[in-house]
Amino acid sequence: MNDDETLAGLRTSLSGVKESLTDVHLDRTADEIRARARSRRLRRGLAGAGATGVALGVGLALAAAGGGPAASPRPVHVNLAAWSVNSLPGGLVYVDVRELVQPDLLRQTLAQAGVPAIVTFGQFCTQAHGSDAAGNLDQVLGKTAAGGEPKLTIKPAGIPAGSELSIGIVHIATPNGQKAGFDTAFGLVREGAQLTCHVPPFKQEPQGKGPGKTGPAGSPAPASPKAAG
Amino acid sequence: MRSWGVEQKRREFTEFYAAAKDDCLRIVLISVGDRPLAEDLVAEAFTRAWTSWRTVRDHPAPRAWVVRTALNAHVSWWRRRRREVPLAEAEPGVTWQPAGVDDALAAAIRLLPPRQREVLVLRVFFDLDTEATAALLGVAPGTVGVHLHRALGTLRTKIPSLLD
Repeated sequence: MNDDETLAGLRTSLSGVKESLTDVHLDRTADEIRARARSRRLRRGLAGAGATGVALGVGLALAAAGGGPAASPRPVHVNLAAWSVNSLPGGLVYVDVRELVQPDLLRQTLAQAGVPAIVTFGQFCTQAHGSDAAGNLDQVLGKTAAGGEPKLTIKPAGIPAGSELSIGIVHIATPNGQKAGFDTAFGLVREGAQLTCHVPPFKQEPQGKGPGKTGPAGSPAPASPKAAG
Repeated sequence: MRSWGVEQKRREFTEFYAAAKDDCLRIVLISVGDRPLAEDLVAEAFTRAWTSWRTVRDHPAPRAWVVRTALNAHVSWWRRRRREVPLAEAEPGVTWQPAGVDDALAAAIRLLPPRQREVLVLRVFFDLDTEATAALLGVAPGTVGVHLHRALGTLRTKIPSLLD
């Protein structure tokens, strides 16, 4: 039997198998596929500079298990058009940000999930005086291959007591002012510390937000912002 | 407000996805034998198809493009998993066997080297000829012939009934 004959036999056999799989369907919608692609672009856009020099994507898996400031979180499942926060089995929390709106609500939702955080959209915030809180971001930020795809992780247990994780996300603008993605930065700050916020010089949007600004556009400058945007 | 071009792209992709997703899933499922993994791989492939929609739309065999991308993603997934997940933490594989299929045949196909399996899947399920398969894989037609010959030789050895 030559290759062509073997191939023909295989074709008949395996095509029959395929046709017998009538109960096998991919249940995900086209919208879910597009959302996945959008999230992918977000994560890629987020790779880059940050207040702490740590580049991360917005797709975050936040490890809420363990001791430290994130003890006893409760399961959270909040899915808005702009972003999602979902507790996962094993004490993980998945955060997906698609639009930079409602940072206050995102911060509150993260807190409910066990993640003490300061969320700033459109700017990065660091501690105003002295160095940022003690703690090693390497102990907080990590990567896992859960689900076969790398996800960024944060371990709240690695956040020192009395500290919060500052999460800043800004749009990346193309030279002609079009939004081209996001950039993000993470830092550890002492709880209640005064923060200095700035728009990264190469990430400014055309609306005129300037570097050194201590508050978000359209809202009072927070001396110690819990969230801004 | 979305432009007409964006709406057209969405509509085209939605139609293609609805028509092709189950077929692609079944082919990938036969190839990898793990339904959750197959679903993830096909979703990943369609995600890339949406990202590169113009390329896929104009491709002579868009479904073959998706399946080939899914199988490539499987290779990448496995390499990444092997590198990042400690063996002790690795989940036991969830194997799946389609009803009615020859166990030995399915197992033999899954044990083929990735490129041989890729060539076999494209030739069997999409009826692509050597040139089309070579173009899709970005290799020479002779390379396709070699991989196919080796794959069929392995299957003949392991599945004597193929010689009947």
